[in-house]
Amino acid sequence: MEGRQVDEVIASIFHTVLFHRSCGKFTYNSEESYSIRTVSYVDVDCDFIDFTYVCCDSEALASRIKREISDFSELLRGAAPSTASPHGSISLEFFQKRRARWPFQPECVPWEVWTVCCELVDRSLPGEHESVVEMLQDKIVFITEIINRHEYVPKMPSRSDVDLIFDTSYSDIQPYLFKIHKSLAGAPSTSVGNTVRKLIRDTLAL
Amino acid sequence: MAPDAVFSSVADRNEFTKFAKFLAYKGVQVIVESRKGEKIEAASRSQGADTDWFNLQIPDSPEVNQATKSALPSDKVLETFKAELHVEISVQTEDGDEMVLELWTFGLDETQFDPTLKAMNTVYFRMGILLKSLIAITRITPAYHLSRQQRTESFTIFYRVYSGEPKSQILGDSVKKIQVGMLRTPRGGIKFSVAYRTDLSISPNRTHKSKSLLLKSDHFELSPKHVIYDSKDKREVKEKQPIDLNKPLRLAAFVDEALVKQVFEEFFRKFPVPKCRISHEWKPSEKPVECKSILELDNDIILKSPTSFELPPKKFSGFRSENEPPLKLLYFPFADRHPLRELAEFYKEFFNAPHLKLTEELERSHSKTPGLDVEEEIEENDLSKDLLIYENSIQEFDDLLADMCRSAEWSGN
Repeated sequence: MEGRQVDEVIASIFHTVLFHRSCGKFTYNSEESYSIRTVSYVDVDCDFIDFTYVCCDSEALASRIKREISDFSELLRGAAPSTASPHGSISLEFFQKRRARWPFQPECVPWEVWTVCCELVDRSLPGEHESVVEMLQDKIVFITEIINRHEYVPKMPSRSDVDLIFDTSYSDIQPYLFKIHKSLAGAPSTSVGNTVRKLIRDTLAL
Repeated sequence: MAPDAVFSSVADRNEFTKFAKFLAYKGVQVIVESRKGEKIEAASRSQGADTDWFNLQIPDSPEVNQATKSALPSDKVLETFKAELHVEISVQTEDGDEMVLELWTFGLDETQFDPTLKAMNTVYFRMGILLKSLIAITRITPAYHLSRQQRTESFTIFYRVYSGEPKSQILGDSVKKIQVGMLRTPRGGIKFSVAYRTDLSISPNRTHKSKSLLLKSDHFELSPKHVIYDSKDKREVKEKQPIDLNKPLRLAAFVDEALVKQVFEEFFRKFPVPKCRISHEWKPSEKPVECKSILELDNDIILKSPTSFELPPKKFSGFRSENEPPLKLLYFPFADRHPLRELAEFYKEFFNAPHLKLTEELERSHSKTPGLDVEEEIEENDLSKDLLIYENSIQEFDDLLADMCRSAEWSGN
């Protein structure tokens, strides 16, 4: 893909995943019982690709994703002059925390990782634009297919454990805990020590 | 085949059926909303209530719900899912050329059941995820991009909901199919899929039209097409649909509502409606005219609770049913001048006459309780005055009647 398309391609994939992997805010009535607020969504039109994707209506979440993606995009595009075809990968990793004995920090156990591998091309070839759109369409279908298999998702937590499963820092949305890893080497980076415990690894090779 | 015994209780089974029903209702809403050509933006929708089905802010257009309801009877939800429920999206150009763009299908594959999924809250949660997938997929097919252009281009997008055999042949030769997702439940796999046309060029000789005529079936007769968004106030709806007089009048797109209101006010000022025809005068400040533009109508209903359509629509009791066909002219051979024919025509005319608003008002005024408003009191005073006049003239009427009887006796003799 072209340099200017990088941000939008990654954003459309990550936001589609996050839309599926986010709940409305929980309100606990007791330790075990809770009610869930409604999730709103918005359409995002891409500027450099003829594509529209859906994302959760949360400014805070959108700005965090945007920041992470632009950091990666700058890194990749910065490498362009020295490398013929710079490539790298960015991963969206969902994890849950496990309480550890004092004085250790809680352990983070990834349960799903989505990796986008990008390779920059110098200039747009004829038909390249359409192929990016088609590739994105296929990826959106792939994402929905994987997510609807329900292979592994952490159980709904009780009130005291909610922060071990969900990121409760947003006021309008409650995504599962996630991290974003960036790497220029081409291979997706992993959380050291936890590789073995990864339950699902879905690689989106572009 | 998955037996019904897979549910741990009857309550679970009923709950599952209810969830499946609302999944279909919301699914159709998602598809139709995505074809309205509107981009959903952060502040474009009012904040949803916390009682939204599947915790998703999906609109709840009564018109769309009605279309779904006609195709998905509440007592045959799973049967309809088994037979497949379809949402057809089609486009019509200004020249009248028509083309089916895509066919969305909700189905139930009984071989794909999952007896381990017992908790109904998990089923509900997963149905929410399936709906999210549907929302994501609706944005990637060519019809989405076409819909977004309908506000500037001159074509109209229609939708139609029906159940039964899919008419996939109407999509032409180049068709792509996407499975949105499959949710395996104790009763079977609930699946959403879409088949869409990849070739969007309309041939000028309208070969498609002739094809669709050949394929026309009862489903199409039973499931009328509904317009999603009419881009201009340029044409009438092509469908021959019965006019529902109970629905509020709607203004065409881009009509200056203030001007219309002004014209109405002026009309009623110049030609005041006689008191005996309506019970109250035109008071624009108190009761605004029930005119709604298409877009306004859509915005109004977003917050309506999804449970509201659980209640059946209220019928007007005491009158001829709306669905009852109007009486045809009775025909008496060889009796053109017979008085019976005149009587029959008179009867027919009155039978077919529209229900007058006055009748309703009168009925209400008969059954009204103390605490009437001023207008109704005035009306009652008018009637009492009339009655008083008639009562005072009783002697006169009696005399007239006696006179008539006498003349009848004489003529008899």
